[in-house]
Amino acid sequence: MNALAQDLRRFAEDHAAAAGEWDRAGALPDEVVRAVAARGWLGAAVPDTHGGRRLDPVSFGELCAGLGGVCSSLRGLLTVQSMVADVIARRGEDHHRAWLPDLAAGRVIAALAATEDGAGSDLAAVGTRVEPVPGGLRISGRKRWVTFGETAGLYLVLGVTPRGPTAVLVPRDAGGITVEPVRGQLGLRAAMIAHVTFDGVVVPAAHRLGAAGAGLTHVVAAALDHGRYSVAWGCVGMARACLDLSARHAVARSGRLAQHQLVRRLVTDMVAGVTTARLLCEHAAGHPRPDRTMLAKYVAARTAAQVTRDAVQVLGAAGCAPGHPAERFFRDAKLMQLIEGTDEICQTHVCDAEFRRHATRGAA
Amino acid sequence: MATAILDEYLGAALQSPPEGRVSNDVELEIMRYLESEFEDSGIDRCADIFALGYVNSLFALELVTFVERRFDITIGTDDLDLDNFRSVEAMARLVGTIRAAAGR
Repeated sequence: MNALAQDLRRFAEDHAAAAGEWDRAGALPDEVVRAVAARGWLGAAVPDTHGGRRLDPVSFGELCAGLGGVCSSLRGLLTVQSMVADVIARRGEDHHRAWLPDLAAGRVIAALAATEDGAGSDLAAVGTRVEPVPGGLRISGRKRWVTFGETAGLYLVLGVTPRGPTAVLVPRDAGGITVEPVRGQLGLRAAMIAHVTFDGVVVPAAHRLGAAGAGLTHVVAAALDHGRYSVAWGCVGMARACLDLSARHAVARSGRLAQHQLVRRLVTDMVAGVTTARLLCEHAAGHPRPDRTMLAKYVAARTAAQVTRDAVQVLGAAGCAPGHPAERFFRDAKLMQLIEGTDEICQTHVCDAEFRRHATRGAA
Repeated sequence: MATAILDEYLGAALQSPPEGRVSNDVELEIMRYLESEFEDSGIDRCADIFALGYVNSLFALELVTFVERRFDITIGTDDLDLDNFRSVEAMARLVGTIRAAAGR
């Protein structure tokens, strides 16, 4: 077992039992955020030269799976922090010193503000305006379902200029930002989700990370690709956790449950699903292409949905009890089929990549 | 049967290799990548690849990722323009410009 795996196991031993309480309370305690930050995990996408501890793709995946097996909301924190840090590291040279060390240390939490009332899967339809004004850029619009939007100190905002979409870094203290926490949603209940309104918020022009017109296709698309990779591995972690719970339950009480063939079929399909999803995530790690990431996320999210559902089935009443990890993972898993690209968006893109290989053959 | 095999061999030989259709090594690398991506060995160096069909925003991201990794360059915000990725020739020109600016 490598050092990261050992750290993750110790972290799970210390914190997994409390995850049901975070879910019930609808908040991730500060001490848990500090515990994750103290292990350097919030700097997993920050280069070492800026105070981070950048992990290779497989190690980052294992980290997402490890935290995903404890709590999806916690994995969500790692996801948003890493996706924003990665974008700043790659596309925001002028902002390295201002943000990367704070993000790596967890002194600042970051969030991606993309979704709107009229722009979910179709992010090209965002209406948040980014306009040049004396002294910088003015941002006006209402973002919905911002993961860790309640506690974020820095937002990466997807907006639109007359020339096309763009991405802008907006510090929480810029003035004109209203945060409405969301509570009681189906899953990810401890992910500090909020609706965030930007009411004429002004930031320096240098806070624009994407060239106008390239914001969606590159900066935000790259962030979402990073997020998708992280979610995919998180799904492997939650599916694995539910498989473990199911198998342990089946062999308990003299193994009476384990003797039922139909239970064995459910558990066998869990093993098949978890193994397949993990292999696709490892494949995506070795082939950093957005369509491979999408395929891994698509399969892993569907696997998580099925495995968590079957875990509740195998566990019976025990798995339905308030605070039981199976019922929490079951609710969270449904959201995995929606966030960072719905199943249907994944199907569209994966299929496009396949058709591309056949459509032009023979054409000059 | 033998004739069919011969025809296939000759057919492959008649199709011009990418070396004959590009102007430099960078174009050759990009051409090879696109040809494997589209399973098409007849892409023109100036052809608009976004018009080839089933190309979406994710593919644009794939091209950016490929160019940055293969040529070990960082593409600045202002160069993240779709027109710079529209053809083999355009991508190679972008690589050349960035390399020249970096003094390589």
